[in-house]
Amino acid sequence: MNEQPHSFFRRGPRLVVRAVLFILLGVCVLATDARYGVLTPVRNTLAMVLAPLQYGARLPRDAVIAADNYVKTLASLEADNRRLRQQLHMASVRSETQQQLLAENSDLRRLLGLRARGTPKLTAASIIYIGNDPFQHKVTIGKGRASGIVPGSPVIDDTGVVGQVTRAYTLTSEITLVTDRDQAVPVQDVRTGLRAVVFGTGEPGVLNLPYQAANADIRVGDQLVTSGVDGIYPPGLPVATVQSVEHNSGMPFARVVCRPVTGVDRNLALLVLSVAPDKLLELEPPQPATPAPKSKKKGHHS
Amino acid sequence: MTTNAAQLAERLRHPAPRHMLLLAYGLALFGNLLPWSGLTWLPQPDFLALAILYFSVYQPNSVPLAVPFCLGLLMDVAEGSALGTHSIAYAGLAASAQGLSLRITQFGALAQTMHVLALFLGLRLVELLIGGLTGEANISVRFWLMVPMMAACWPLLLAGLARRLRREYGSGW
Repeated sequence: MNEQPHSFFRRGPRLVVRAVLFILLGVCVLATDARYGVLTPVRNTLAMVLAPLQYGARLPRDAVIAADNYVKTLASLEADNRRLRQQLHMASVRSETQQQLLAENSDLRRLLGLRARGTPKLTAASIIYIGNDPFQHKVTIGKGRASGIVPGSPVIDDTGVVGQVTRAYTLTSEITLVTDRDQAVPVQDVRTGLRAVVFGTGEPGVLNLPYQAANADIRVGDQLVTSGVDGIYPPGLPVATVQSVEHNSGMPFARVVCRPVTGVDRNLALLVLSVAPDKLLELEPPQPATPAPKSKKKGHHS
Repeated sequence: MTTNAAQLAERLRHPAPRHMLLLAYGLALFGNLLPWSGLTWLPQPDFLALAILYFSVYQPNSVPLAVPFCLGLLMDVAEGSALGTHSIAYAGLAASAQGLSLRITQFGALAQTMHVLALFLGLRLVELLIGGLTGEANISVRFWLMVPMMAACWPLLLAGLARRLRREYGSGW
């Protein structure tokens, strides 16, 4: 009898050995990806594999939304129509004022010798996946490098800043939301003009405004908009509303908690602003009065 | 020979074909990528972990650990988390399930579900550990709610998928 042993008995290394090997491999991958970022080509390839599945996975949702829109009653459509007409009227009035202001602003800018602010190119994209990782707040949109999206571009919706593109794949890109723990947005208080940086907390719907002096003029309800000093976010986009301000006499700083104005649970359509980073810089670099600094520098080095 | 041993022998003689596994994993991955966040009160299900668990328990020798590892890499890209997070969790889950395979299949649906509950809890703990290494944890109830939810899927899986497998690939399933 010379029977082949069944595959059940033909095992390679023991299970524990294999498991330990794969876990070690995983740890190596984790460390390499987190520290050195050399695995970007691997990530891009995997993203290409995933893209068709991700595009497919949004179809059921889109179908549900389409069906929902279809069966909407006439009454709700009429109400929508009336509301939109009103909004359009308001917007047209506002837009006329804005045109005037823009013209005036460009005149003033020219007078002040400031560089014209680049008009951002808007790319509309819809969310195809909302991350499930409790450690980071990320969403994936259905547009990528192929549509001209680059990492670092700010992302907005109709109400304000949503986040920033952190990874751009060929067909999809990944957006880190303002509520992510690692995300910071430079803002300005509309009421007082106070500049600050708002940080994500990792909790949905909660932003933190740290390092504000205990006597800083911040009140509940204050609107925070982007200040534009970072050169990434264009100025004037709504980011958050101050929700609570706590003063503790034992602490040098006030505890300011804000609520973001946008939420991915509310909106599936997003806009990616693509502006060349140098165009975003409002101020021209300080012009040296004389060409002297060059020779001065040389002198310093030698 | 007990019925369990007979079933095991039957299963080993007639394993589910490779295209069946591919289809199951593909469907599970697709299920994970569906936008579940509209139902905010429900935690996001992890069908891929469930599929890996099922085939690791019922077919411990035909799926190498490289498969859950690579599927984990895909989930890492989808989630935008550090590469390796899901890979370690899925490879660990598959290895534990393969090791416990003979034990788990001895039990009825309810006791199996208890084992599955423990394995999913382990999966979550590994994810928590890796996430905690890269930053501070901020865990909601929904994070843990996924464990009983996926365990509750196990009897359904046994009743549905296993019955179909049994009809096509012999009484071992």
